[in-house]
Amino acid sequence: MSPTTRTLAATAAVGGLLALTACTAGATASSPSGEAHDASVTIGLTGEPVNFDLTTTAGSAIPQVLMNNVYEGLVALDQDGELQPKLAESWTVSDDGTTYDFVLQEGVTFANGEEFTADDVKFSLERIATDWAINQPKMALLDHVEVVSPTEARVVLQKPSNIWLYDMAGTVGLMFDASGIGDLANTPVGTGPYTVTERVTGDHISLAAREDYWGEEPAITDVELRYFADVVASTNALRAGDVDMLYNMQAPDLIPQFEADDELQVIQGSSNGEILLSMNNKVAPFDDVRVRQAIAYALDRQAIMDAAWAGYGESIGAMVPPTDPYYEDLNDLYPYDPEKAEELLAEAGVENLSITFDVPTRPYATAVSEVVVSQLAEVGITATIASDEFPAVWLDKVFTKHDYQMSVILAVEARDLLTTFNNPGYYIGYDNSEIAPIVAAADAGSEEEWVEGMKEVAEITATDVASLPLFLFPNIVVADAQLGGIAGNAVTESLVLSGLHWN
Amino acid sequence: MAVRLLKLLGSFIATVLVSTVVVFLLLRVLPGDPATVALGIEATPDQLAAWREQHGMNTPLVVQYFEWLGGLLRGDFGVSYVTGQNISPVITDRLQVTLILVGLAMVIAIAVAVPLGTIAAIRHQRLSGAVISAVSQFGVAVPSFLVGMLLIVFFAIELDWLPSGGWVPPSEPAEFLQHVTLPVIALGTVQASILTRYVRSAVLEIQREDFLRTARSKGLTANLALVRHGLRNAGIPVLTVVGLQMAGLLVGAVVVERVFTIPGLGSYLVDSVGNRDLLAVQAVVVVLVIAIVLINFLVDLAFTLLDPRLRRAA
Repeated sequence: MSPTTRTLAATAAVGGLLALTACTAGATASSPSGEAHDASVTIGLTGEPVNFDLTTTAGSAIPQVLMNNVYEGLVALDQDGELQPKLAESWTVSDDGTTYDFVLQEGVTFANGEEFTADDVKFSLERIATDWAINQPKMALLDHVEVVSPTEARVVLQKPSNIWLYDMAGTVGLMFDASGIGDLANTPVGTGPYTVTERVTGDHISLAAREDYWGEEPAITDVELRYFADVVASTNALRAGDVDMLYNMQAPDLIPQFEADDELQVIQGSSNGEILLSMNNKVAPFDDVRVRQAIAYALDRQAIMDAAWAGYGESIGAMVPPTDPYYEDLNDLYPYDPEKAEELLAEAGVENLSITFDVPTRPYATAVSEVVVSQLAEVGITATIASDEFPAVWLDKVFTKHDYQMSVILAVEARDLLTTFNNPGYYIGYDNSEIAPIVAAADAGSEEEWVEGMKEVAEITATDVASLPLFLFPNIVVADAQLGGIAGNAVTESLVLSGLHWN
Repeated sequence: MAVRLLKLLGSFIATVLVSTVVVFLLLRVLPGDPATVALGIEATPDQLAAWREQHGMNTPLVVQYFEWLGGLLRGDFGVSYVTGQNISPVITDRLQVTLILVGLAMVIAIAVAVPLGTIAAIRHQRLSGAVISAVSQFGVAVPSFLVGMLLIVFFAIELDWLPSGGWVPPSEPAEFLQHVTLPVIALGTVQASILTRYVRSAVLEIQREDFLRTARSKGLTANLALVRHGLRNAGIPVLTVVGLQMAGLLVGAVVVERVFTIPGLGSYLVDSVGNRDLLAVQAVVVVLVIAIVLINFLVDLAFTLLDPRLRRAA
């Protein structure tokens, strides 16, 4: 073949390929709405699970998929953050607060066909201390589990705790079957309404409803979770009708556009995630409480939320979201007052302050940091941004080595007031000698005493500006207008699928 | 010829070997701790230490390197720190995706660029030639991710003809073609533009050569002389560019892979770096190095076939 004929042949082949594509596309293309939906839903997410083993891999990506959908616990949190029975039909607590008697649901089976009994409760909870590489401290209080009968399990704690049962609604409370843990990373086996049917890394995870599920069978039998590395790609997929719902959407500037679209609905749910301006309490200049207070006065937090996250989110004055039982409105503790900030800085003798601001490479952090830097400049503080790759570099430098002055991070863990401030070895470095006794008394006391104690802790740490929560991160969901039953509030890491249905 | 082949082969092996050492060492000095990334913020120092022990990170670097190299020679890239999966099959899957993408894009680019570039050269003093030049100049300047986004907005969102992204393997031809069309066009447009300009200048150059004047003086028309004697010679510089582009595309396709959420080798590399999944990163880099060196090797080989002088010189 001469070069010319070769070229012609190639052109013809490509032309044919394109023609064929156009035909097939025309034949199978479908519009996002306006027609009957089958029992399937495609959901767009960011942050793909690297594997399915939530006992050895940290982060919220795995529980987002598996918790309440594939695995279930004895108790679960509802959309208002209240504890509800799940695999435990009911429970009673002994007067001294150390013994929990759970009555289990009958007729529950794991996806591998094994029956769920009190033996599984004992196996699952006692295994945490020996086999889990993460979250172990949450079960450190556990003394032992007694199998009273196949449907009755007694859990005995070393000392009373108000937080323990709440933690049981998280990953450490999930129930496993002894014969179903052979390949946790790839084959999760739980009692939940769905099983994982397919996983294509870099693309999607498919879930299918179980026919032998003990509870109510979900209306949506097939769920495809598609993962997007790029925010724009995910919103394009939504607008093209390739996904039905985007959960925890990270592009607030696009929301007005979606709100104007009749075929879509926008839900602003609450979350447990605080955008936290963390200050290293152990190094200068933040080892001086006056400097931290000056920062609190210097920052207009409403303006930061408006500029960085299009005004979506909620103002909070302490490390406590309004859905927590010990929430109190502390927003007015440090109103925006740049003059007061300058006075405090002068008092602390740190005029013309120059600091390094470690910013993880996340959209929210970058957006927030620019506004923070410009507001600090107005009170004479020069903040130089050091960009830290997230998670690897940020975790290593800021979190592990505490090699930083100021940083900003989305603290997603639920009820993390104590994790953050009741441990001087934590990266914040807050001196907890004042709050530690209050915490200990509160956790061992009655529920009322606990709520009161925690309120006190919140107030002390907020007054001390142990760190500055800038605002509460919203959980924004954009979905097809006909999709109902969306669990918009991110009360746990889990994205609950069982309530979804097409209207 | 045989000597030339042996020389090429020798430099091929040496390049790959050196690159394994470089990538292995570079990754060891990269900031960030794989154990912390894997176990997260609630892990205790004991658990971190146990994780490092379990993943063989406490053995001397030299031992780690040779164990890894030994695996490589057997085609075994090891088990990922993060996913717990064997890396080799993942690489095979991802490479296949990227090769399909890049291969189709290059085929389209060549199919478009060779005729257009030739026309632009022959008619360089006329309007049609100038138009082709201008358009290709514009195409070079527009990044492929922008082309991709425009294609998505128009064909996926407005017209709803094709999906906005995702990947279906060729075993399902109809769906595969739907999914592959837009990304291939996005990648191919830029490549076609670049190539058109190279073809044009190569053909222009050739037209001034003595041997074409000789051919014309023997009675061939200018165009016929070009087709019979010129294009073959113009092919050499163009081929070099195609080789370079192929190599660049293997790495550069990552941007288009992101825009269209395609699970290719590039996205795997980016994710693995983020997770400090060192063995996976090493595997991808080695595969890319081999691919790039291999492409250069093939280009060299093709030169030899196209140009008899090189064959004799060897």
